[in-house]
Amino acid sequence: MKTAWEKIFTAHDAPLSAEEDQKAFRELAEASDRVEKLQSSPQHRRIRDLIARKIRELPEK
Amino acid sequence: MSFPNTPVTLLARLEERENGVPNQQAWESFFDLYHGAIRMTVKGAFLECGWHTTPEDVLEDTISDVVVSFYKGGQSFDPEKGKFRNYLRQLARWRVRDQLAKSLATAEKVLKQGISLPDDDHPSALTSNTASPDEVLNGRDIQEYRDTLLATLLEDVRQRVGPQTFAIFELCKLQGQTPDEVAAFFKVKRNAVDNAVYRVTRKLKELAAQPEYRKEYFE
Repeated sequence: MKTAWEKIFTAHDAPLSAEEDQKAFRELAEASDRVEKLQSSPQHRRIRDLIARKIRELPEK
Repeated sequence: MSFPNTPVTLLARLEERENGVPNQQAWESFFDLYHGAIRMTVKGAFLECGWHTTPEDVLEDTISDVVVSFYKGGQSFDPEKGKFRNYLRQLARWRVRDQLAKSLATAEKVLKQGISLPDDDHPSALTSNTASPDEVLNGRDIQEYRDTLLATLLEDVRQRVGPQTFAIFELCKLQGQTPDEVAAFFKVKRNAVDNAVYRVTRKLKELAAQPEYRKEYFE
């Protein structure tokens, strides 16, 4: 049986039950929260600085 | 000009230059969304080399190398040839191999931390890449990719609707506030809230059904 997101990714007009709809948006909120949490971590900031430095040091094309 | 944030267009923007100057916002947006997925992929690539624990500074250096590789654009992703996550996995393997080859100090550091390496795990052994890009990802990888894809989808929608419309949707559908509460907060009619939620939900589902999203979601 397909999950709510599998249904959505397969066909946008697929009907979802109220429970599936609730579950799909809860998963979306949780995924977004996890991504945002990582974005605000010190690791994320350190890597962004590293990338910026490495890009600055690249020879110009 | 606003750009859609589909996985493919995010990547294409990394290679953009304006008067020879790279688009800094492009790689920042890409990294903000893909950090988790890249992190798990790089960890997986180290694991394939027998590194069950990778020091955080080595991991961060390698992750940054992966993003810079995208940025340099020398190994462009072709969506016709496969899924982005398989491409990313292959790229991560190359950067892990570079990481190990460039400095024996890195390997020594791992050994000092008491992590055992398999007998054949040394930089030169890593130059022969035997693992298939289509190898099945473990559960954490898949979760990270799905999180990234859903967050990308949400960002994509955010750019396509007005800020208040998106905020109404976010409060109702993602933060669990009732439509009446949201209507009162924005001082709009209940009907306006329902319309905003409907429009954003419909747009979200339309985007999700696009092949480039659909292909990445499924195994």
